Amino acid sequence: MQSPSTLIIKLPLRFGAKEANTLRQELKQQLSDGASVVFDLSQVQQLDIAGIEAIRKCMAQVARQDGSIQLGKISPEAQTILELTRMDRIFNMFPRFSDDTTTYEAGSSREAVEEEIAGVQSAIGTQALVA
Amino acid sequence: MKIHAILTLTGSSQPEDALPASDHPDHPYGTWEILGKSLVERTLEHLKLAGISNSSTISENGSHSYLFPSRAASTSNFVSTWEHTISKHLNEGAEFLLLIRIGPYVELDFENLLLFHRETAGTLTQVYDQSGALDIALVSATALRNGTGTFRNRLSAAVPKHRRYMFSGYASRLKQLGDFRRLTQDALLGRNGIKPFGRQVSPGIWVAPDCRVDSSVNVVGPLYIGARSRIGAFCKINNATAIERDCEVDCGTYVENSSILAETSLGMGLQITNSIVLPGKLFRIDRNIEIDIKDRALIGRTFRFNALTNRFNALTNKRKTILPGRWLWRKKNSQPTAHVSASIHC
Repeated sequence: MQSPSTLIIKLPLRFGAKEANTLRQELKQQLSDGASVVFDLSQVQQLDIAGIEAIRKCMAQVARQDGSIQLGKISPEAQTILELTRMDRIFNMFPRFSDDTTTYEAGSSREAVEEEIAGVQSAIGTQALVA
Repeated sequence: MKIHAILTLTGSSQPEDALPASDHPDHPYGTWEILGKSLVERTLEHLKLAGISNSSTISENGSHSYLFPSRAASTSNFVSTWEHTISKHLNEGAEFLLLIRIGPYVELDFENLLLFHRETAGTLTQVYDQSGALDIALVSATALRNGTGTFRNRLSAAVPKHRRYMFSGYASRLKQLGDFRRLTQDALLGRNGIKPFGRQVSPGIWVAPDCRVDSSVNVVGPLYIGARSRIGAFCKINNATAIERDCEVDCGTYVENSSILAETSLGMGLQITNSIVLPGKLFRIDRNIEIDIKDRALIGRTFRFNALTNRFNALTNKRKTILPGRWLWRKKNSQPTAHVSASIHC
């Protein structure tokens, strides 16, 4: 039985409708049942309604597949935009992700996780995911 | 005794154009409105009260941010404009020239300054406070008429012998956005001489003509609502907030301790705290960050046509709006011109 994996999604500097569409499509292919997903907004400086809506839909998709959601670092700009749109209350409901290796799911080696991240990155486009 | 004034605006004269990158030291505060009037307008009014009606306003437009260009300053549009302006006032017979750089806001008694200048028989008097120079100087016209070279050379020659006028009143250097916000708060709390444009409808709450506030809005003073601005249903406006002219705040939005500058539209259900907001930009003061908001559904510019329509209605004293929309139902009830909700708490 395949053990659940951890996906760390690092959103780019500008996360709008175009990037949101790409992310949604890739997540459909990459996301496995029970996966743990970490949203990292540390690089985000521009985030519009389409982007926020896309993150919300991704979270819903993860939840439908019995996955778990954690939040990584959030940049001050992203935090301000989330507060502006009152989405911070929803985001704050999720636990925070730490860099501790114990947070990786049991059965998933670090190499497997990094491979998976690289896979998602190459699909979306390296620049798009990691600034 | 003929005193003329030259006002220099820091940065660009177009506030939208000059919204700078984070490392730019100057913001065009002179053109930003505080409680209904810009600092330039307030300074000109202040000068008129002091009997100084002959004045010019020039813009630095990104050049050196000094009270007057130094000898070492390279030739630029600003320098030539400055020289031309000085020449114009001298030709008009000015005996004293008051040079004011509007970046700092200073509540100076110009008559006292002139008295000091004459008593000390100096050619150049510069205003200081405890923290340093305040970018206001009074210069005798004879110092500029005599001498050789450009006016900036003649003025620079007078600098080493200048007199210091120590000022202990209210001054704000406006070096950072927090200073601008603090200036607005002080004005709303009555700590400085800036008077809101409009009338006080409740203690601490000022409204300007033709603003419209839905009856369900909750306001907690002190606050200011500018001319022709519209506040939608179930909004909350709290805590030293200033909403300048021609703004639109959509339903359910919460604004606290913020300045919403002229012609800004805020979307529905937003939450704005500790910020200065312009069309397409948000400055968060406590985090010291500037964010471009490209999504007009969040923060944009008030639709011009509506702004013009409102202005037309105000001039013709009509209550109907030309375009249908969420305000249409209101025209059935005869509302007073500056209607403010009954739920006002101060």
